[in-house]
Amino acid sequence: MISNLKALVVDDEEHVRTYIVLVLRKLGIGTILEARNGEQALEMYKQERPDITLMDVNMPVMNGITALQRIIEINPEAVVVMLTSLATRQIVEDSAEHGASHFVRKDTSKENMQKIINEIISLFIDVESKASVS
Amino acid sequence: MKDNYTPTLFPQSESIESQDNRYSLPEMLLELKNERTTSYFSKEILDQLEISKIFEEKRIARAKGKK
Repeated sequence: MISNLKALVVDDEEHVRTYIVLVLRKLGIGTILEARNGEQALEMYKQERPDITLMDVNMPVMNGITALQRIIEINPEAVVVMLTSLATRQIVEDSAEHGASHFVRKDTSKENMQKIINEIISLFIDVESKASVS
Repeated sequence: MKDNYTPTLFPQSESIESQDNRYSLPEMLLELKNERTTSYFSKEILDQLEISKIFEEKRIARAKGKK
C-alpha cells in the first residue's frame, strides 16, 4: 500500500518542500520527512531509511549530488529522485551516473510531477511488500 | 614524335602514405568525455521529456547488465 511508504523531501527552500510534500500527499504517501540540506538528509536517511528521497541539487552545506553519492554508498538500491530548476545536461548526466533513479524539473506541472513520481514508485518500489511493514 | 613516350601523371618513385590519425579507444572516450563536460553541450538545458529519456536508457542498460 502506498500509504505505508516513507518519503524524504530535501530542499533548502521551504516553499519548494511544501509543494513537493503536497504532491506526495496527493499520491497517498503516509509518512513524509523533510530536510533542509544534504547533510541533514544524510542523517535522516541513516535513521529513517525512506523508501523514496526527492532531493534538490543546489543546496548549502552539502549539495544534492554529494548527498546522492553518500546515500548510494549506504544503500546502492536507494530510490533518489533529483530536483532542480536548472536542468543542464551535465547535472542530469552526473545524477544518472551517481545512481539517481530519476530527475524532475521543479517547473514541471503538479499533475506531471505526480505522474512521474507514481511511475518511479511502481518501477522501483515493491509497494505490496510495504503492507506488512509499519 | 617519340614512340615510346608515356606521360607520367603521378610521381612513381614516392609511395603515397596514409595520413589519417589513429586514436586508441580510451583516448577517444576521454576526448568525448571532455567534450561533453566542458563544451556548450554540457550546459544545454534539457526538458523533462529528454531527461526521462536519459533515465529510461540508463534503467534499460542497468536491467540488461543485471541479466
